[in-house]
Amino acid sequence: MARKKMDGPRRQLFANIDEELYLKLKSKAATDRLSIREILELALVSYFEPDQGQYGVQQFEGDKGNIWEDDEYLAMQAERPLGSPVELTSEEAKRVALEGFQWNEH
Amino acid sequence: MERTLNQVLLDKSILDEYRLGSDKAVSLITQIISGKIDASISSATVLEIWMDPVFDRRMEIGFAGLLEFLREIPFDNNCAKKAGYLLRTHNSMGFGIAAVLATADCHDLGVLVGESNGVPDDFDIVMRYEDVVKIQS
Repeated sequence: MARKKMDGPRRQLFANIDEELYLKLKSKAATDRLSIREILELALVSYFEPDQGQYGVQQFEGDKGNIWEDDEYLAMQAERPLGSPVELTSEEAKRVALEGFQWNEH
Repeated sequence: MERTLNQVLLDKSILDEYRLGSDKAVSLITQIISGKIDASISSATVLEIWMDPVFDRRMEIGFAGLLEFLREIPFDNNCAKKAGYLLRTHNSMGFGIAAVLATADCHDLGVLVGESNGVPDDFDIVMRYEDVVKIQS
């Protein structure tokens, strides 16, 4: 899943949460290459707007923007020198293969 | 040789045309990514892509992603011998297409070349976009 850059005003949140939940969250964040912040935001959006369950996902998955600007991980990778190792999830591989070339940049 | 879309080897010209946004190449690669066409790439073609002077970091990441959807066919000693023979007997043939033709011959595959590739017509394993459309229809 693509990582969106942070925009708009931000607030910090501190909380002690159940350890089992925290470990699941950390594992999911690593698998999906999302930050814990992004997963928490998705969860909060679906809590407050249960009828718009897809809203949060769409927010991260894509408005078909420029992947080199909208996706934090890819933007960071694009700045690294040629030949630097790059690891892509199957979703990222598909996205860069379909949208990563100049003719298809938005 | 019976022409089939199951297992075709892509020449670099297809990937160049895809990078530049050619409609035919985009249609073909999209079908490969969606799993409708099972395509392969010779490691010699990967070498050609990575040595291209226009190659930049975004292209590197884009092609790294695309390679995930292509089966890699190694360019081994048998392929090298056949490619050497082709280069010796066809003065105007480039290294890349010779390597692809030889790899395809070794592994009993068809070769799909783009419009920008002037490979001689006497290679019956060579297919073009039009052949893909014909086979699919």
